[in-house]
Amino acid sequence: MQANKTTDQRAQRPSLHGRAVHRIVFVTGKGGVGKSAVAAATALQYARAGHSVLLVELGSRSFYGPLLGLPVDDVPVPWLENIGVVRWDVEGALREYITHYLMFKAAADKILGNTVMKALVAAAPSLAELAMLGKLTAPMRHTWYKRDVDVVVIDAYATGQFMALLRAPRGLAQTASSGPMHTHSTEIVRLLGNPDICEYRLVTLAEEMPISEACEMAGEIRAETGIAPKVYCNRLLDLPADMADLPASAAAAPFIAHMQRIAKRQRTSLAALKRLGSDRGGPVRCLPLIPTVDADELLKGLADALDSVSRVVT
Amino acid sequence: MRALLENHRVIVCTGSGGVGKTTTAAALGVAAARMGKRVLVLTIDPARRLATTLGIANSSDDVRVPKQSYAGELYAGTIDSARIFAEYIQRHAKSQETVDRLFANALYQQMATTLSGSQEFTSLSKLYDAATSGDYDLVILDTPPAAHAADFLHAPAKLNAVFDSAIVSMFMGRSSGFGLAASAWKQGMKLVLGALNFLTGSSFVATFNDFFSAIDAIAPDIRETNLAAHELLLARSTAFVLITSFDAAKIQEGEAFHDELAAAGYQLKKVIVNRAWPQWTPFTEAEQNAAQRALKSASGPELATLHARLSSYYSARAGLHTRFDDLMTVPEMDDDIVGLPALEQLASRLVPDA
Repeated sequence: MQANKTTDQRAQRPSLHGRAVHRIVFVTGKGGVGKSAVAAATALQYARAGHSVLLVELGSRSFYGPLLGLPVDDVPVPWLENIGVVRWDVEGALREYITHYLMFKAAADKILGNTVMKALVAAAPSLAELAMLGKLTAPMRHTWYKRDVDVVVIDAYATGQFMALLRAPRGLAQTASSGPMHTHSTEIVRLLGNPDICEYRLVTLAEEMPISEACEMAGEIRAETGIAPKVYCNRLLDLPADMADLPASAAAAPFIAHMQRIAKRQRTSLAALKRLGSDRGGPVRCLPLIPTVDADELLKGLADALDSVSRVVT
Repeated sequence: MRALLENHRVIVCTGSGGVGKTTTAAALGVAAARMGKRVLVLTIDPARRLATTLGIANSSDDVRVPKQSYAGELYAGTIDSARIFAEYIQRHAKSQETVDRLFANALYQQMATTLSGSQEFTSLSKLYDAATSGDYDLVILDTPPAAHAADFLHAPAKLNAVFDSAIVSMFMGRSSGFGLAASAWKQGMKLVLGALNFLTGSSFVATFNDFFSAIDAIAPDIRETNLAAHELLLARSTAFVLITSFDAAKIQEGEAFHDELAAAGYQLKKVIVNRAWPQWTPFTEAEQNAAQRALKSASGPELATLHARLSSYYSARAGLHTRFDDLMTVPEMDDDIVGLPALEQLASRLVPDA
């Protein structure tokens, strides 16, 4: 029975030109806004809805490992039911790419072990970024590349580096005007702009810098991919509407004054996000501050909030 | 903290994104100026209001911060990576033809802004110039935004790899020697070029070739600048400060960074936990109870519950385990830090005896 069920689910999985398709959710935002926590909660949200999820972090060292108490590395480790966590780095992605095209691993190792190659990868930043995106979209571009999940959630880079990631394939398609890399870059550009496959989640806080960066970035993501990102305002406090008129009694005066300032800041921030208009995919989504130092509790609470997104600003 | 400002000529503020590095760097500058120092704060991409406060919103040069009256003098500057890199090349290139060729190269255009290490390189080159100019007693550097505090340290090595003389030479088709080593290099080069040619087509490889031949002339200078800046960072007169926020992952990252700094010979002199708690956070049970009573009677149960939840959250955070025994915790200042008075307030918190 179990086997049949799996087959049925596979049959339902959407396909693109006969190739398996999984959903790709990019989570980005300014450093310090809780981007990684929202990414993990997003994975949890999809898993709760019955999907099998791969939560991916990028870079040479793991953030989720210490946070979740898991040995996160380049092979997915199970976290909760239906969620695997994995860390992808540039060298590994590039190795995979070159191994495939040069058909044998020895050559790939030789080339990647080569100092010249390391210098080249460092000198041509889009090469590294293309390797990452290439790995991400490989199942949709090649029949030989299998990734048996429904959704991949990527804890992507922060602002500037994320835009460099998104822009890399277009830039490379122009610089490398022929050869397999040109073909692949062009395909990747198309996939990144396909709303049936890709979703962009932009996380921010109700503070000056994160808001101005988020507003700028929403437009840039839309301009690059044609898809407007979903905007999440994180760590909001649920404050009474009549905050400004509260009497400030002595013992609680500093607290009330602080809450009044936060209420004002939240109002201006949400108003700025509302003004984004068509650069924003759907309403502004409000996520509450979850006052806990326990990672599991935080992520579950955030996933609940993502599920309900009860307080939406339209 | 006072001794830190007193005894060093360079202070490097490190930390991952969003922890308040730039503001802290500026406040340390204020504290040093109060102590009578001529101090320069070098910031990267400051918030507009902070830039306005420092007088650098519309200027790419170092300026004297307006409206100040300190025993010393406070200067501020921004690091515009693309501009500094372009100036650097103008200054070091042997001919205008090289400069033009480089600026027109597609790789250069990416490199000046996005090459891993280029922002760090321009920061270090500017830091080096400022610290050795003799104009300042102290230079405080805010480091580029990065996912990890340690990224800043690895940047020069990355950039050095690009400008490694052997690699530039190989790309230029010069052999750096005879015998086995040189021939192994050539073999490696052939392999890489073959792979690149296959994957990207010949025009991409031509762009590479063009880039490396143009950069060849200034590569030695870049290496030299990198080396000099590296020595400056290792000097006894340079102190590192780590700015972090109060959550388990950031603290762990800070501890790993500390070990990395120590292993590389750098001196991490202070760890600052920024915005550790809001200023209203009650310190005693009596304070807590009084606030609770006042809230319940004046504004109803809603705010009282919020107050209780937030208080216990901040006290749980303060109790997070850390290996650092000399943590400096700074409370969250009132709202956004706007204007010089707010920076002065933060400076008083950071260096009470300045």
